[in-house]
Amino acid sequence: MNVVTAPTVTYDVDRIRRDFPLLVGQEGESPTIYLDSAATSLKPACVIGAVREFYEAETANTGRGVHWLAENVTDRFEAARETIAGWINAQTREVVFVSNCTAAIRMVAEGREWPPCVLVGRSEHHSNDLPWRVRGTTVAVSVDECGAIDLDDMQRCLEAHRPALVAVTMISNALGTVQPVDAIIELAHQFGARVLVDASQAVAHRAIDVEAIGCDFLCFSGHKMCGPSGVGVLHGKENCLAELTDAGFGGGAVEEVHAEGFTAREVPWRLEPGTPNIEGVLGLAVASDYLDGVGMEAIERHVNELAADMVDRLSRLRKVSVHGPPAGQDRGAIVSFSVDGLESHAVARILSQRHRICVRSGYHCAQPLHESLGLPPTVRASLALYTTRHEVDRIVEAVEQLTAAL
Amino acid sequence: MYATLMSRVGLPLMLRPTRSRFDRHAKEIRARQFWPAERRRQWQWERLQAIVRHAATTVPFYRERLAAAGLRDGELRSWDDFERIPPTTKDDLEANFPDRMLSDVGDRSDWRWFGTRGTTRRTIVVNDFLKRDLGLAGIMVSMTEDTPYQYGHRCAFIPPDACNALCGVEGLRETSVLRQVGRMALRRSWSDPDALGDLRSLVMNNWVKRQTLLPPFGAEGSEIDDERASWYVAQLRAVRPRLLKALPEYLYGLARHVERTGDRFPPIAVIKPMGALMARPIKDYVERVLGGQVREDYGSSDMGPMAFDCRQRTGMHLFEDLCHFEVVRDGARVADGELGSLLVTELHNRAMPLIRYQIGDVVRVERSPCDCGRTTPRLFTEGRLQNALVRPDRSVLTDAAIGDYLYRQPQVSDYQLVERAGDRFELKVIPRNGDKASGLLAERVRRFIDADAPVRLREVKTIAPEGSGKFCHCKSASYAAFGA
Ligand SMILES: Cc1ncc(COP(=O)(O)O)c(C=O)c1O
Ligand SMILES: [Zn+2]
Repeated sequence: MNVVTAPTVTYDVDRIRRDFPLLVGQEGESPTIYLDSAATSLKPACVIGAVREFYEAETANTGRGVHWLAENVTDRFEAARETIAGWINAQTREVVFVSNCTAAIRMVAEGREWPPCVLVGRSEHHSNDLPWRVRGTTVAVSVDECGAIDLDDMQRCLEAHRPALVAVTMISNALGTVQPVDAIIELAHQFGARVLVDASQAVAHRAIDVEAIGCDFLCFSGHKMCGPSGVGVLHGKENCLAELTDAGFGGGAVEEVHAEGFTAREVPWRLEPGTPNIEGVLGLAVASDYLDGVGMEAIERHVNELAADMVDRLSRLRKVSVHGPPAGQDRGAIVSFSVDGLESHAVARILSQRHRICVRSGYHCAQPLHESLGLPPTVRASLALYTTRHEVDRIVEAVEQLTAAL
Repeated sequence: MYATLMSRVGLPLMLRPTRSRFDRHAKEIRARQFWPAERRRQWQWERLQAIVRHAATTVPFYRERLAAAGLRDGELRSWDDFERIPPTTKDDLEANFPDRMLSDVGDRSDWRWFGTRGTTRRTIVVNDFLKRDLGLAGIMVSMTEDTPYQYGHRCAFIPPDACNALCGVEGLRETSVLRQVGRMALRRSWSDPDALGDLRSLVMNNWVKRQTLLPPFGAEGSEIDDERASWYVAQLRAVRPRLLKALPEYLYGLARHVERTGDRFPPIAVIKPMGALMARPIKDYVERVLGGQVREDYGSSDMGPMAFDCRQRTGMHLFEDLCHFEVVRDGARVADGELGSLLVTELHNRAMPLIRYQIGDVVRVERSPCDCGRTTPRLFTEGRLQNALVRPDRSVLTDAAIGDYLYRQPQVSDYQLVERAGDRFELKVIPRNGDKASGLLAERVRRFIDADAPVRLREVKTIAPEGSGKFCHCKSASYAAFGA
């Protein structure tokens, strides 16, 4: 079960920032303003410490030895699985550790045949589009001008194509659009399709409860939720994971191997062949604990407030267009905008060099979305639990100053 | 005959609607090349004083810089005053752009932003109308002065990869002059500076230069396969340009293809390396295989055109009426003909003055008279500062010197020298004619650069371009010791 800590009454962002070494000692002249958490989040000291501890004092392989170091790390590795399972309210055996979100999606895509086709939204990240495309037919459901999936079109597509699986992103990494995941899952299940939810842009800011969501698969990367890079999670209902018979196998994923045959281990271990990213998994568990300690509801409220404020103020600037959901509508911790006459990379570079503000620019791995909406490459500011109102002020001022010079 | 008609009648007609006076500027620029040096120096000094005064009084960054150098009002009384101003670096530019680099005065609607993805940085400059028009004039002078290429002749360009899409400022919306005129008529935007600016560029590109833009070679690097090379050859055969301007590595790659396969295009009168240094042996090779003359010019995306070579081809004549040039090392001017870092002060751009701007190139300047009769000093570029090896005794091996040596080695078709920490070197070599590069080569190179440890030799199939799309033949770890 999810252990929900009571939200702190006032959100103490300054205290939180002290947990992030990259932000500490930044109170000087021109501190780094990190608004690229959607690409990867910063790491708190406890996560860095866990990774370091593994290297300095606990190195051993997992699931393979009986000496005390090996036993210790095996226990901790499996405890990390428990922690992550609890964090997303899943059964322990429904959690597979993979290398990142893309690998999780590929494991599902390649783990079995998915006849006859897979539905993806036009707003998908390339990682939740290409693994399906290269394996056969995909049908892209239309999105509205904010990037939200058009449920009527989805129904038409389900009727016409009867797909075996629907893959959808909970929050668009390009526009911050929050998809109507509940309705999508209900609709898909009516047509007998399984549903995979890419929660990459949600995990760091919203409590995830796979039981309540009702999805068949859900995946995310550790590095976007204050964890290490090179580790991600694939959650799947046990029967759904078991169906991925083409995936996995190898050292550590089998019970016995003889010249004539072998017996595979059960899921999830069958799907984790080879030595896993042990320190990554240990660090990830610490990251989820950390976020839990701050309180997911509190984090969500905090980033929502700041994002709404940023949208509101950027939209009022001359020569600036903010894309994605209009003010007042639910959006993730992402604000994408463009500046008339200036290419997005130029804006990002000026923000970086003149103001030490880190933002992403370009298509954000979602070119079909941009093309279908006729959007230019954009500048994307993304927020996290450690983002401050002052940082929002700074980017708004910086963009204003830039447009004044144009 | 054609050229005369073009410049007497065609050009003025074409330029009329664009309000450009670049043909007039070009005439003046040509004439000033022959002024007595002293007269031009005085002319330049007056403009230098004016631009420094303008910067000191209207540009926040320079207001502070000059005050700190004891020149509060920007009044220069002597060259010493001028040389007291610290150089402006790309770091300065980026850290202060745009608000602190732009002038507080002037008509912003007539300014234009130019983004570049340079060798090392993505910088943006803002140019006013005069600067842009003088820039066009300078480009045309460097293309047409003393060469068989004239206004109205066809030319072809193969720019480096990465520059087209990612230059920072949104590009032209229209591709044809007539369509642009139609668009302006439809919207009655005859006095809209943006529309006029686009029109000016289109007239320049499509009519005056008649340029064909060919796509860059791409990420496969310096070695282009015969099939793709044939495509370029076919294009050049169809376009029949009188002038071809491309990255030196592209020209070299095309020449090797032509030599290898005999698949050729008619000789192109003028061949210009673009964007990077072309080593002496490569120049000779390209001329021999492709026919035509290699003619050089020098410019940068932030400064515009700065120099061009005359028919003597002994260095490039500096546009001293567009910019002021200095060559420095360790903070002091070097003697004529000595190696140093180039500092440039642009004389006309009031939107965004750049004073003693460190371009990042290692050069020499000769002031002795040229046989062509021009009185301007001549520039010899030796490559990017970042590609220069500074040896422990502070002697310098530039890109030019290394290329001169390595391209003359019979086993070397192309190379990249990489300096690693601890005075260790690696030499990547694309062997010539499929030969094996021998250990002897490694030893020769070790002696040439005077390294203690053996040079590690590695055969490679291609040299990959840098992020800027250009190629780097020497990755130096010691360039910072140059004293730019
Ligand atoms: C929505 C979404 N899905 C998938 C990914 C891919 O994540 P990773 O690169 O960690 O595999 C990202 C990363 O940007 C994302 O934002
Ligand atoms: Zn000359």
